[in-house]
Formats: sequence, C-alpha cells, structure tokens
Amino acid sequence: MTGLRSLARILTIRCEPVSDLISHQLDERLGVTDRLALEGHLIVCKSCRQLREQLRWLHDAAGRGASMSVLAPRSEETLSLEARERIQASIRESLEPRPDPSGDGGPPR
Amino acid sequence: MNPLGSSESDLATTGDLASPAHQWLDEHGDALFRYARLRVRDRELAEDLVQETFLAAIQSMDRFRQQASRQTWLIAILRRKIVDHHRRRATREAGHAEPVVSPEAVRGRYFDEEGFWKAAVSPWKSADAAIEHQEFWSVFNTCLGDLPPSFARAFLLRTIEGLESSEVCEQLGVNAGNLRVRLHRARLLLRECLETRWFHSSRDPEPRMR
Repeated sequence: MTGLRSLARILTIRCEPVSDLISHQLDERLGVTDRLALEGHLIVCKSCRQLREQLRWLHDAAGRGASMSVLAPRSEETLSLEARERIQASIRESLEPRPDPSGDGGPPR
Repeated sequence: MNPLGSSESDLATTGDLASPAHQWLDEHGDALFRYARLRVRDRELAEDLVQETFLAAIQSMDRFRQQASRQTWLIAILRRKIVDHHRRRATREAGHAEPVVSPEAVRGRYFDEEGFWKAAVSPWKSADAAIEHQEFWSVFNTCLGDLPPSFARAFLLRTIEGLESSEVCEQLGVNAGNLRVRLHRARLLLRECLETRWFHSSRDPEPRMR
C-alpha cells in the first residue's frame, strides 16, 4: 500500500510540489520517494530543471555575497544614540554600589 | 554558595570586575544589536533585547567562564532572549498568520489549478557574471527587502548566515514545516524579483549583445 502510494506520488507529482522539493533539497536530504519523484519529474519538465538551476544558483550566490560582504543587509546599522544612552544608564544603574539598606545584600531587582 | 551576599554587590565594589561591564556597550553593543536586528522585526525591539542581554549578563557574571570569549557569551544570552521573545509572540499570535502574502497568493502567482507552471521558467543569461556587478547586489538587497519580513528573515538566516534549518527554527520560533514553507516562497519570490529587475531588465549585464 505504501509502496503503491509512493509509486503514485512518483508518477503524478506536479510542478508546484516539485518546486517545494527543489527548495527543500537545498536545506535537507530528501527521502527516497521524494528524490525519485523529483528526478523523474525533472526528466520531463524543462521549467522545473530551470528552476532547480536558478534556485541552486541563488543559494550559492547569496552565500558568496555574504562572504564578499556585499550582502550584509543592515550591517552598517548601529545602536542609535538614544538607545546607547539608555542602555549605558541601565548598565550603570545595575552596577551601582547601592547602599545596603537591609544589610543582607538584597536580591537582584 | 555565596554566604556573604549577592555576587552583584561584590562586583559593584570590585572595580576591576565591574569596569569591564561598563565597556561592554562600546565593545559589543553594535555587534549584539546587528545580531538581534536580523532576527526580530523592529529596531526598538532589537535595542530592548540588547539592553536585557547586558542586564542579564551582569546578573550572571559569576557564571561567565573565561574559555568563551565575552562576545560569544553575550550572544548566547541574547540568543536565549530572542528565542524567548519569539516563543512569547508565537503564543500571543497563535492563529494569526502573517497576512502579507498568503500561501494561495504565492501558489496562484506561479501555478495553475492543476499545479503546473503558468509560464515557463526561462533561463538567465550570464548569471555568474552578475555576481561581479556591484549593482546586482543592490538589486538583490532591494528584492530581499521587498519580501514579507518573515520570509526574508528565514532566507537571511538560512542562506546568508548559513545556519542549519534546525537553528533557524529555533531562532525564529517556528517548526520545520513552517520554515520549509517560508523558504520555498522566499526563494520563488526572490527568483522572480531578480529576474524582473536584473536578468530580464534593460540593465542586462550585456546590453551590447542585443
């Protein structure tokens, strides 16, 4: 039964689920049924072959872009001055040698 | 463990231990901020998470071990804060999917009712040469910015930062199936955008060929 179902999937898979498999294959290893369905479909479908080529390229290019640091989105972004002051103040406050009213060190706030 | 009081007050009185914490913001603030910025939706939230990280770090300073670099340690704390944030948000927003691009919309954009391509996927000319063009990357960044934010974050963490899927799931607080869907759509949309704005546009890398 499961064998038949696998066979049916392999023989009838359409471009949409194939595009999902193409994407998924960039992230994980596919199971046997998925692999067969994908490869079988690619034999007969030029658009999906094209898609696989392009998504693979996209995957590699983005990785390379990151290493060339042309693709470091927002990498130049820094903490705003206000945030910096606010955070510095809160750090200072939490480090401050507070007078020890209870005499037992007191729990952190 | 600490019979004379909290480690906090010890730190406060010992200058050489306390002073590094004063410098943390200068030394690590921007790095932490960028780390958070890639993982959460807005700027203020990223700033708040950085602040929480420093405060948590100060509280648990005695647990810092010299084997790790200070920044690695701070990022580990930040990472937990981010995961907590996503977990809280997921609980709060359970059932409210991001409305920007529905699955049906992406599907209907490329595929007919039977699941076949509406339009054939055409080849890209000189794709490898594109990488050398500064302008290509600015198009790429624009396209990335045009994605629904949750798709863009998934793509960034997985492809650009090169995290494993399981790590991306943890960072974004989504399950594997959800990540798979996001990455799939992100890639289809990005592919389309690059095609429109670069590969099939008049800014073709080889305009003299025509």
